[in-house]
Amino acid sequence: MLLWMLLFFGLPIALVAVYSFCAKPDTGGGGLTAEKFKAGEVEFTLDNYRNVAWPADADLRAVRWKIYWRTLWLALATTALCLLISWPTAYFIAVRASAGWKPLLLLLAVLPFWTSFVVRTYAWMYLLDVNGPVSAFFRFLGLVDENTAVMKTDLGLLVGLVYAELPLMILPLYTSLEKLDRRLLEASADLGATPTATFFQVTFPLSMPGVFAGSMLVFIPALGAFVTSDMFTLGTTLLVGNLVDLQFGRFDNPPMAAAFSAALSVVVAVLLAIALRAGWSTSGEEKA
Amino acid sequence: MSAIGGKQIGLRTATAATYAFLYAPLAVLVLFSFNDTTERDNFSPFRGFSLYWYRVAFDNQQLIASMWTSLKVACITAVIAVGLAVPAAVALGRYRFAGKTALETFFNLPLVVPEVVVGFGTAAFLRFVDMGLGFTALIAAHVAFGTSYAIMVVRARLSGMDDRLTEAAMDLGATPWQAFRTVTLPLLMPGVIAAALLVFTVSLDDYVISNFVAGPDYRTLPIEIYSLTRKGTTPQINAVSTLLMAVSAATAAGAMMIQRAAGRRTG
Repeated sequence: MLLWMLLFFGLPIALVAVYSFCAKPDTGGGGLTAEKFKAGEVEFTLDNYRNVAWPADADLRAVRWKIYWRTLWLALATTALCLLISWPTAYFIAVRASAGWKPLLLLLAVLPFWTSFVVRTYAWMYLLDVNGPVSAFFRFLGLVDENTAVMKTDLGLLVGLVYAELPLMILPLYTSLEKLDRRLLEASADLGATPTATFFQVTFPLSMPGVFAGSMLVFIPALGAFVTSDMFTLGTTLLVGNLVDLQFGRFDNPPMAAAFSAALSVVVAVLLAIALRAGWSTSGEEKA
Repeated sequence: MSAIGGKQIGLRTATAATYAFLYAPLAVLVLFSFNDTTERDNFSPFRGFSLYWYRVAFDNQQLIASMWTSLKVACITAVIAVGLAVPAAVALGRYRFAGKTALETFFNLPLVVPEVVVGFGTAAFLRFVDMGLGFTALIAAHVAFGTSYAIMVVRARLSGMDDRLTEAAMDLGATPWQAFRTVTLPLLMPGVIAAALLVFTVSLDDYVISNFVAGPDYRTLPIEIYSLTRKGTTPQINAVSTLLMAVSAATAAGAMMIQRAAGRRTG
């Protein structure tokens, strides 16, 4: 088991890290193989990272940073929206639903997760397309002109991402809320707290573990997303995931793809660390 | 409880709205797969039910080929992944050893690293060791992340199981292997089957990693669907998607129901 995982998961990841420091070879079409390493044809360089963070060309720099920014805010917005939409539903299933309904509701909530990402994203392609109902609605409101498909806007991407990731958020939230001790809520009401106060000071904080777990499960894929932008905008709008895909697939530049991947992973790791730290301190308060 | 009960109506509406949001686009997708029209444009108004587009889909040789590839990969992956996961899950669940937490973290990593990175890394790695893309590559990569799911499911089942049964078996003279075979494994079975079904589903549905690893000669169903969408939405895609959804949903639901039923039977 360990061997397999090491081989087909651990090594690839390690390789990505190494590649990010390699210069693109001039021979053999950019592919890096063990032979090339042995033959000493591979140089090590920090150029890839410099290209990621600060490309020499000013236009490219602007484009790249726009992509980074877009990726980040889309991922954050997706996570926030998923949380906003899922929390009431998770709460309802965990706390309010009668025992008979619970399993069915839970099943229905989680089922979309087990369908293909491609299908879930495709489901919105029709609705968001130029001739689709959503675009027509936006046209009616005067927000877009005749030829715009909501699909091709950042908003369209947001909708697609939220929709695809939503089922991932519900289950962790539910698990966390299910363990909630109802008596705490009652106690809070007995002590004179309004429902709003109860929510903000008791219910929501107690669901924090679920919130963090769900947010992680949504944020990380959202940050690395590229299928949605590929399907919706056919490559006109790019996210960091697209950059990795393009560098490896079209430009045959594994080192650059690796650098982007590494940068992405670092961002993920940093944010994860922050979230875990915050999670520790919150749960610490609860136990106190 | 009336102070909290006042939220009731708002909560129910919010929940209903969420489910509507979740299922409406899928419902539309399924509905239009039955559209009785021969126009490839997906926006012709709905005119009645027809299986025309399903016939078109089944006439599409590339599509059928990709379906078979997906099914084969998914089945093989499920078997291997579960085979690897059960010993790992038992080891993690039952024993303590040095480096256990690190190992657990490592096994959970595939679920946390963005798929782009995993896909690209695996493809680059395969090129590095000159192993080549294609069918074997697909299976190797799918097993790598499928096992993570499988371990989660089996461990959940394991933790709900009574250890004393296994101990009792050994007290009665069984060797650890015999105890495992005659007591633990049968009790684990629901979890094992559920895990297999889930790995099957995940493998069937996967796009990103498969895309990087399949190579020019092999396409899985999601890859095929994706390439079809490049030309715009058509009812044929709706038909294929509906089929894929039906299979995924059925196996996933089956897995979940097995887990629930088993959970109820074992005290």
